[in-house]
Amino acid sequence: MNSPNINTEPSAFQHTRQAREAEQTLDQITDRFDDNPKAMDYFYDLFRRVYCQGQALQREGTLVGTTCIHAPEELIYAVGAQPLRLCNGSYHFDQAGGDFMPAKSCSLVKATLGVLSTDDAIPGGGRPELVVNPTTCDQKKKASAMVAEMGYNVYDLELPPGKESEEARLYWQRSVRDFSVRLSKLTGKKLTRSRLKAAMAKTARAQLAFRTLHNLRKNSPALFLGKDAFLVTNAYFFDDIDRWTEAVEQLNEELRAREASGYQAAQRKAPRILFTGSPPIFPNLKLPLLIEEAGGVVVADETCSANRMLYDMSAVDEWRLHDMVDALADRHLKPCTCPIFTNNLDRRRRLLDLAESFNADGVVYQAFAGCQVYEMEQRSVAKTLSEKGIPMLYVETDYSPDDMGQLSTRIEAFLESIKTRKRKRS
Amino acid sequence: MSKLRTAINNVDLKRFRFWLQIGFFALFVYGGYLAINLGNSLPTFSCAFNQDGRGGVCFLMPLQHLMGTRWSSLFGWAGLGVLTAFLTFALWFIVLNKAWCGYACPLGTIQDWISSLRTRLGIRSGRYSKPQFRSLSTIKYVLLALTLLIPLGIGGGYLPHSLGTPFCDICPGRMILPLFTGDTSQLTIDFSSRTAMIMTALGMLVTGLFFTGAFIKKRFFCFFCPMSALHYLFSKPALLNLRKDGDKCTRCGDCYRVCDMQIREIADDVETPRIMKDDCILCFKCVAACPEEGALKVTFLGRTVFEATEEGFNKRMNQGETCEQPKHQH
Amino acid sequence: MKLIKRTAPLAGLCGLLFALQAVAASGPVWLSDHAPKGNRGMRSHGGPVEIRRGTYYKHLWIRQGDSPQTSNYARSWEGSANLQLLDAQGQLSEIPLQAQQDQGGVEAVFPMPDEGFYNAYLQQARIEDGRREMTIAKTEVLKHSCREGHDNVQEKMPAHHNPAMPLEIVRERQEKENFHTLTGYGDEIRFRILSNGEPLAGAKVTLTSGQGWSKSTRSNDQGLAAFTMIRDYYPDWTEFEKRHAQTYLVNAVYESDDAGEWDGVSYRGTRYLASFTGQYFPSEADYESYAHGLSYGLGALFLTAGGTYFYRRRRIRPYREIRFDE
Repeated sequence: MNSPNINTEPSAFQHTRQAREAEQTLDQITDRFDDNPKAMDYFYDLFRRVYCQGQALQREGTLVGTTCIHAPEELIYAVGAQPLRLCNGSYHFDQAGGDFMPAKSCSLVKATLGVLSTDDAIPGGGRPELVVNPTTCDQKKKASAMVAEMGYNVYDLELPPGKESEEARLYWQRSVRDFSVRLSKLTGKKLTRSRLKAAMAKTARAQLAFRTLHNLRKNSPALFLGKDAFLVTNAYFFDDIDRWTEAVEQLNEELRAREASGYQAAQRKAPRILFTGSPPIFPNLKLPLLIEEAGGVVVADETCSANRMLYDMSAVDEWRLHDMVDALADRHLKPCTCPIFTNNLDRRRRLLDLAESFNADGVVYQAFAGCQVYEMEQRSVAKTLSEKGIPMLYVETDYSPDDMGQLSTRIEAFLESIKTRKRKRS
Repeated sequence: MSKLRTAINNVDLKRFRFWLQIGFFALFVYGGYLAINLGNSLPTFSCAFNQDGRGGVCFLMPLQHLMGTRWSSLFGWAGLGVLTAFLTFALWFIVLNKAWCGYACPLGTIQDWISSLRTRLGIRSGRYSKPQFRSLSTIKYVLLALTLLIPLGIGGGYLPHSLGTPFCDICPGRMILPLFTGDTSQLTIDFSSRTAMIMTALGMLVTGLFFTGAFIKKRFFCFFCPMSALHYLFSKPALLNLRKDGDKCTRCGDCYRVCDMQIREIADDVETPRIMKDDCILCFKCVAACPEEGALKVTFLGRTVFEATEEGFNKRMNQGETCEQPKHQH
Repeated sequence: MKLIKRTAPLAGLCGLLFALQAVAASGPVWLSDHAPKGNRGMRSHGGPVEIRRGTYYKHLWIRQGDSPQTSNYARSWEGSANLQLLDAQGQLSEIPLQAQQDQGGVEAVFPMPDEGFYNAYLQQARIEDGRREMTIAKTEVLKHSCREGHDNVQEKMPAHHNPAMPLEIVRERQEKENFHTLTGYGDEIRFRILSNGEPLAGAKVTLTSGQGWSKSTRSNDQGLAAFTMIRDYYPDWTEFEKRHAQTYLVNAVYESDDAGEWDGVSYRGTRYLASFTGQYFPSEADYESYAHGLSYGLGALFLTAGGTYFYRRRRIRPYREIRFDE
């Protein structure tokens, strides 16, 4: 085990199915790979404490749960509350959530419902005081009433169905302004310019750390592996933002040192994979792990559990509430490449840009069975990529471990074909 | 060299622009006191009515005079003078392109000052809706056509001489810029003829509207400015330019939201590399607000002089960095 | 010696008219740039000019009388054949006078190639009752075309004078005067009276407005005489012209006891008579109003500001039900 200084006293929580699931994934992440960055220990420990031992989050303040990246966290911080991303990746909760949703539904939505239906939806116990549910895909929209029925305060943050038109933008800005009023009521703290400015600086620092990490992944051969990158961004869901940022900054330091010393985390010829589609959320990191166990390396991603959540930054012209709040609204709508919107031009352009700037050899497209929007976008994304000669593997899967064998064969074949192509080219 | 490049890309554009605008303001409004005279073909509002202080003359005034020449002369020897004047204007213009608006124009600078006063008072800026924007932005072409056609009609003997400089009559610059050198004589209504009375009254109404407009809408007047329309006719060969690399653009809209002129294409158009639109004032706020490396660039003679960088973006946008982080409540 | 031989244009038609003309013919001689039958050519900043191949030409006509309104054009001229011209460069030359019977007057035409002020002098003398009477008619005309630019105007502004003239009226420049500056109603105009280039004190100076109003004063120690121009233009508003030009006439008289002989006749003393003409116009205060200007401007400002304020207030109110207008 990587971290000797954590409490190894067995507890009842460790025997739950979810804890064993988490432990299994963590062991896979830490033990099956050599030379994990030292700075990753912070994240390994964090996940072990929270997911395997059920320790409390050590977050201070009113917790506001969010079910999507569209809820501007800065507003939550500014009224003195703390955001907590509720999207869940556990197969155990996926099964528990099956009671609420039809069989062919998205694992993520089911798992989220599953965890919320327990009495301690927050790791370590307790429930968020408010659940913010942006009205994104149909399944999340319909989940709203079910969450409310479980006894939560639910706030539906209304998102327009498209993001191209000016009307959509203004509608969303109004939605976000409404949201800020609701948040003020929740904590009784007024939204002020200095509080929001401070909150924005907080997230900007986190985003900057993320972007640095993101850019370090452009190195070829890779400085570190994608499974760790996903773990880092997954930690952002629930960790204290300042502690998280510091840990990422330390990781960046270590990676820069690796860069200077010419370290290689993967073979020079290892196929570089761009990951897109349904988000890998701990402990469901099976697809990135399968790719990297098979000798590939995930160098970049276009998912809402990582890149899409942290990459885009807001620009403010007049540092006044009216402009700052609108800027936050814009940042959470305009650059978003979520497939729920009418048009997926930006997503396809983003993939092409990422593939080019990260020198990716192929794209792995994960679609959770039942996540119709990702399933429907497969065709257009495949077409765009093939026009540019970028191979793509489309994987329809869910949280269950049953398809591991079959997936591993497909991934190995995909990586092998990429290697063959590369050999032919050179 | 690369250090210099980084320093430029990290520039605090707001401050840089503020001081450069003050410099240009001094040049065009007070330059005359230092015996500066940049001629009669300036592509910016260096108002001729600011007799003592002006550092040159806004081209629109001589242009209207020239267009008002009798037709027999205009289509004869005087036509050569018009062409020379146009050529001088074009030469001035192509150096800075529309940055004449964003950096040099004294009336533009005044609007920016009024905007910053509004910001200090915590009043939000107005925005036009898309249909409003579309119809309003054609006004400048109508004004330009009138600015040229009315004097032409005078030269042909169809219109009274008192309409000689129709645009100057209604341009708020005529009333406002001379005030900076203590000349209030333009704040009057001229009752000497019906035409003069109507035009000066219109001028004063526009001046009143200018102050309200500039207070609630960033760069209010620039939407209607015929000089801006005239600029656009010459903007193709300009040396200073704004370029966009659509592949690097995430369409996050940061550039659009800081744009004083509400130009949507800057964010939405990922096809056109020459992204400068007719309303653009080339203030480069969009470049400063772009977080994507090299997505937006300022070029001079095809060479990049200032471009969007992640580092620069963070330097400029991280206003709250020094803010005291609030203590967690418990 | 008779200076002017006149033929009344409508002689025999009306005795009264003839009598009036005869009275007018007795006044001082002066130079005008307005043609007897109206001006042809174009108006420039220096008054009417004729343009020949891009060069400005000025026509000056001899008139006689106490007031610009009642003065008549000389039909023929028996005095010296030339007008003396001091051009913008300060060079003296002689310009021949020509009687233009078809035009109804005597004129001198000269080119004005350079920007600036040209001074024309017409000198005449006669002996009456043993005293010499010397007349020096002078006018100052401006050549300015905006095409030549306005860059080096200041150095061309100071007035020139001819030190050979025994009596000369020089118009003093206004503060910050330039080629576009006009004398308006209510403005003070000042003249310096010079005798052979030296200021002359105590000369009687009379200013006569276009409508015949006149005022006399005496030049002070520096030879200065000042007048405030009156307003004497009261048309209907619809006919008002802000560029309505009128001619004022200034005369200066000075007598000396210098005995001598002139043209074979001896004299006991000399009476010098100088004339000078200029233009004056309505001043801005006659047709411009700050009160209206500011009220329009502030009105627009407050109306639009108020409108915007209430519009924004309304937008803050909660959404209201849509009602159909049937």
